[in-house]
Amino acid sequence: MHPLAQQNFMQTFLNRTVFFALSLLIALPARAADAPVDFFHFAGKFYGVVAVIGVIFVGLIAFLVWTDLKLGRLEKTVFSQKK
Amino acid sequence: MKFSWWKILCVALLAFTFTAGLLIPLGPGILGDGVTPAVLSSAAPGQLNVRTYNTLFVRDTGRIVARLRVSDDRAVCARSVRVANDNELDIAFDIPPIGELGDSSRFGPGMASPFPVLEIYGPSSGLATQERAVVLRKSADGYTDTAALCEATPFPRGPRMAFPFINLNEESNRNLFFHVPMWFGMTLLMLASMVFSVRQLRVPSARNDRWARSLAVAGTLFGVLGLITGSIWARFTWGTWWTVHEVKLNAAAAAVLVYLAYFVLRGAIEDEAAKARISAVYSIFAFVMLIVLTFVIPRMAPESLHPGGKGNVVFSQYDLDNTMRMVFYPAVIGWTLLGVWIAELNARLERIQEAVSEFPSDR
Repeated sequence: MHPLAQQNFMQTFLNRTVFFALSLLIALPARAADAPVDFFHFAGKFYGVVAVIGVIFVGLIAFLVWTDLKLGRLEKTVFSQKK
Repeated sequence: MKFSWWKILCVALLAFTFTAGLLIPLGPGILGDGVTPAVLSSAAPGQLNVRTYNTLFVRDTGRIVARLRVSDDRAVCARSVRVANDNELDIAFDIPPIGELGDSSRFGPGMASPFPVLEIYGPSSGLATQERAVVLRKSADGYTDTAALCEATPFPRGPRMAFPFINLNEESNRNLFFHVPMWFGMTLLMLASMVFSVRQLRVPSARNDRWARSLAVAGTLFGVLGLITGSIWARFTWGTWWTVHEVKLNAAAAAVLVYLAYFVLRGAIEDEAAKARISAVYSIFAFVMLIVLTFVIPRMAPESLHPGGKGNVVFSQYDLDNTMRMVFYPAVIGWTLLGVWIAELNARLERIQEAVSEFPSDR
């Protein structure tokens, strides 16, 4: 496959995957909103747990992205010096 | 950041797992200790007080169907149902003489019959069930008045998307999207590590050794997280952080120890070439041990507290319905990709360290 065609294919695949995942992200909580009262009785505790897990998840991803970027910069510096 | 569509996919899948896995409500269910009294007699009227979870009985008043199923197709239907509140009912039965529950030939030695199954259905609530909800005293002469039993026709599907309610687990059932994918992820990462070890033995290179080690690091991290999430779950459902009588727990812990020994071995060898070669051989055996410990030995155990103890090591067909599958499989892919991401970062860092160590010392 031509590199440009390959890149286009990857881009399309990526766009569709992200779009699909985001659609599910929006659609599922919307359906969940039709939940019975009991779930919301639990809410006082439950949303606290969800919030803590959410913060941990966001923190983990942010740390990975930050490390990835930092390593990218390091690789650039180290391997250009090596050459 | 390197262009990597799979990293974005990983974040999207995990975001979906966290959102859907935590926010989709549980379906209706009968609480584990929610049925009183515990014993009913046949050929006599009986009344049950039932406490439930996530039901809308007030909205369903007058339309609630309750029955005590005594076989696949027959049940004792309730004479009257009184709604106390959204999650509590008083159900009255006229129980006819019942001599036998279900078809006893279907249940082999050691297999408990699910009957009587208490079933409560409301159009807004959906179906709440509990197997062996009460002990039903059989008639002394073994006679069953089948004419007095009603037909147990299936109820329609519940009105809303929900995860199944499992008595023992309740809301902790959501841990399925975190605990189990950790083990799937660990197995896949260790498999990849073994592949790089085999490649290392065929074509020795720093890259193969680096990836074999990095994937093992990520896999072991997942193993430890799997043990921690499992232990927390066990505390909630079994009342203990750890039980030595559960084969799966011990075997999983042993599997993690086997991989911890891999890192001890690597640390003990000075020569880089020998370290790469010997640890590659160890990694292959470690993966075989992982499979034996987590897939073979649990199958040989006669009893297990884990679901699917008597059949599939991972799940029985009742432990994972389609709503859970919709979140579970993306979770497995997402967590595994996260492991690959961690391994990639580890491998890249090690490569940088190697490159820096090769610089002349005066620079």
